[in-house]
Amino acid sequence: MISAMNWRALVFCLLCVSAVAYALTAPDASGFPEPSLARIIFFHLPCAFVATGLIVHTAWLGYRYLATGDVRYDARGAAATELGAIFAALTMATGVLFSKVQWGAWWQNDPRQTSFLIVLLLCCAGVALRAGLSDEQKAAKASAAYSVATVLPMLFLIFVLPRILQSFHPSDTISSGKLDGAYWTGVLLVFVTLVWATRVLYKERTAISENRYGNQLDPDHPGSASPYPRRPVAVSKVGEEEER
Amino acid sequence: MNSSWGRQVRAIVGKELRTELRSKHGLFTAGLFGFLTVIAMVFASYAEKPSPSVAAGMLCVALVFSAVVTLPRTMIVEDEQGTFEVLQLLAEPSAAYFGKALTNCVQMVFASFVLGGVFIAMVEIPVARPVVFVLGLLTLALALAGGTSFCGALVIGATNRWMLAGVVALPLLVPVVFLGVIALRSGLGVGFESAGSESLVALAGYALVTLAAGPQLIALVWRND
Amino acid sequence: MALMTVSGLGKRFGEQWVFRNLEFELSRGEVLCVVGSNGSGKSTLLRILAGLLSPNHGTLVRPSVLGYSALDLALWPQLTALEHMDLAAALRGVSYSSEGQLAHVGLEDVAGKPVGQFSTGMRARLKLALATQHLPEVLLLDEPSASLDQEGRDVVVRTIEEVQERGAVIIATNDAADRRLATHELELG
Repeated sequence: MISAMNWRALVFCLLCVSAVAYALTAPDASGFPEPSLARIIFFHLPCAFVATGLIVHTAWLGYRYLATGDVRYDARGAAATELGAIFAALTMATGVLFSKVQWGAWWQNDPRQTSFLIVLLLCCAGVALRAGLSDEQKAAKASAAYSVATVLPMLFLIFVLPRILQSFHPSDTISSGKLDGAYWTGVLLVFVTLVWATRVLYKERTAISENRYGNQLDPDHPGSASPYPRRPVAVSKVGEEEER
Repeated sequence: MNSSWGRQVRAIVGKELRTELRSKHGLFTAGLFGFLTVIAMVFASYAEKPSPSVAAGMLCVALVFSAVVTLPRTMIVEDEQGTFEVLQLLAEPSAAYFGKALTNCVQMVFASFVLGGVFIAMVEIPVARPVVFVLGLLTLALALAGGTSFCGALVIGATNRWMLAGVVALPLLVPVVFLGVIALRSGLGVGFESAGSESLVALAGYALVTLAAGPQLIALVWRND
Repeated sequence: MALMTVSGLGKRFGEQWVFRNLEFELSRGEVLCVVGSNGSGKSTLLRILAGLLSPNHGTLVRPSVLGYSALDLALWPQLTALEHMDLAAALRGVSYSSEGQLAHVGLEDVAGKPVGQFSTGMRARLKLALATQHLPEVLLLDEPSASLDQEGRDVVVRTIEEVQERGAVIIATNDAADRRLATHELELG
């Protein structure tokens, strides 16, 4: 009998295999100097989608943490911040690779490329801020406030700025017919696979943070499940000891 | 804004200005740093006069770095000299933060006008639209003060506060740089006046949002209950 | 009616708990002495009670008007003693005479001197004046007699007795003289 966990692993493996198979068998893109290498988009676009989703999710968790003080939100926020930075870095790396093979240079000063670099820097700054504060409560609050404060500039950089300025990155590459319509299927397949993988990593990373918080996560039983020794605390009225 | 909050803000601004006038550390650092940057840029473009577009970018960069190097100080110094706890004991976190942010605004506006004037005089570029240029300097200074004050307040308690303040502030200030360059460029006569006006509104909006939302967010970060 | 109630209070740094499940109540007229070896969490407890640190566990009910003075609490070196008192008065919204309060702790002659030029004992007296300026219901003192001469110690004792009349005092100390003022003792360790 296959357990639920094995089922999930099996489906995930099938997703991975089908995503790779689809990417390799999809027709070459037209209108690109290196049509076969336009397949980078299969990975590049989903990474950007996942990174953007994680950025918004981090800000939401930061807001919830500041509003409620519930450390579960901070544990999830820490995970989302790190994963967001990782996916933003992957988006950047694949974008730079695409730029080299299709446009002939690693860096194009393209508005979208530049604005996403700043998004990546903001994500890294969020990670650095959390790492820079040794007091975990301060780190949690500061990271939460930073994620809330930076979400609007990031959304501006992702969605608004590249559309104000002329970019190498037309938003209608696929719909205009430069890429085969079937590319959307590939992008979607990889996106689902990445979301699945992200969810697993997110859960694992959150569990690490939650373990650090220990029994604070159970407000109904403060101290009841402590793995740490309880130090002796005594309150006595002055003079009682002498009387005894 | 209730009267006790306003009174606390006024008291903090008074204390900050008094401390600054006695030590003159912030003004000296901002002035010296900005002045050196301006001198270096003027020296670099000695042989050829920079175009208004390049000059606007150079001035904006000088102001941004001047802000990032000096403005977090009003927040960080409390942590360094150990007086942050006294401040926490005496004042509402939002009032303490807002008082300090207002002081930074005053300091940055002063530094911007001095540096802007020196820069224009040294590179000998005519200011085609003086109102746009002056408003550009003003809104840029306020937006920079709002952004850097927020980041300075966030890093209180960090081991490497100064570096961390720069790391978290610079990416957050990129939209300000972008808008500031457009506004100053328009002030120097490049592009449409309407583009300059739009960026002025955007800069003012950025300043307003950071100065209005900052106290609420920082109050949540600084509060310990 | 308790002035301060602490229940299930716990604080940890990293994975190391300083104290856990701390419970006590403080009523008017009481002086609670917190004792314990170095590193037992006396100062940490007072900082939590003052609102300078968040606890990791438990609840704390404390009065809104609270005074805190500690050996390691810093003051603004550029400001004079009088400016400290005036600033604190403006922030707290009280209008008691700053000069009178400085005289109460024996600092009237140095009121116009920047605090950067003060000795540790003079700073301790100024911190005491700041902590009691707004007539707190609960006064928290961390090592109040450390670095003070006999005259300074007398000022501390007098201040504690004054606050005790209208509220309560918590002292973190291992000093035998300070412990004699206590009505209750809390041992951390």
